[in-house]
Amino acid sequence: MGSVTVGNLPVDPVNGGGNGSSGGHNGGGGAGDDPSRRAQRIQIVATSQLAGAETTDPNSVNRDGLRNIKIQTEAVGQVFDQSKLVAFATVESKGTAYLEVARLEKLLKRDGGSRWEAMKSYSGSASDVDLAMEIVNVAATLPTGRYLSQTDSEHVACRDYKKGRLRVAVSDAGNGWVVTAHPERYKE
Amino acid sequence: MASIPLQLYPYYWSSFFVDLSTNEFISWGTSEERVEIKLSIDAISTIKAVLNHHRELCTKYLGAHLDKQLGLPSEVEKQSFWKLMDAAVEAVQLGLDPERYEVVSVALPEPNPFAICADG
Repeated sequence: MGSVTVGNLPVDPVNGGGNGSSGGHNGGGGAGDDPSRRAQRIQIVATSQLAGAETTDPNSVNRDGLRNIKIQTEAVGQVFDQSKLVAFATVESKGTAYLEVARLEKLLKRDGGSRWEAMKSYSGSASDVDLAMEIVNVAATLPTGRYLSQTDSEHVACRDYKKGRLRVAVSDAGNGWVVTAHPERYKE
Repeated sequence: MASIPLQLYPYYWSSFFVDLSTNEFISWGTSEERVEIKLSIDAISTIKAVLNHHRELCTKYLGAHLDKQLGLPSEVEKQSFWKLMDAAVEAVQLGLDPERYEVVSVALPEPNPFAICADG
């Protein structure tokens, strides 16, 4: 798939950069900014959508918001290996965040990896990258362009499979990113 | 003899039951056909109260990815969480099929707003 070139909006370094887990917290939306008191606008874009955006006329607008994606790709100013990069997320006033497969794995393998493996099995994902893409694609089904409030259930997106469901929760506390995902078993 | 040992586990605002024999989350709800555990509306609402409170604590006290601690809940907040949890445990135990399920433990919530592990 090659790489995606992206251009220079402020990047929230929490998710990216591959420079360790803690160095990136920029405090921009930190303790003094009480997220419980207001709603945030969250948009998640999977790189599967991004790939299509590369060939889109930057001036065009389509129903999937590809113009926004183009804006993001022009904004971040870095080249990513698309096999590692899985998605971008934007949160109102906090810029754009990006996520790599390794970060998602780290986040979701805290339990030793059994849930990760179960999610792979449920979704029929062949590899870690495939599962990461699936998780992000599920997250990207959350409604975009709307304001999510503290009591809104729209932070959780689900996709159903034969054996169970993949449930992906998105944070409204930080930068609108995937907080967790887990497999939920159905009745036999 | 119950066949499935359950852990009650508030997992970021969405899940609650873990089958300890397989470490899988179990779907739950009031009526959906495929849900594994069906519960009364009252039991569901007490579970949701716990999950909502958990999320509020996460939102307030955890950073960016909810894996950074920005503060600690007060004793009052902690107590109200565990009080809701006790109510949920009771409601769940009344509503589960005792032949099939046994609640054997109650887990700390994840992410844990009371204290996050340093290795994030």
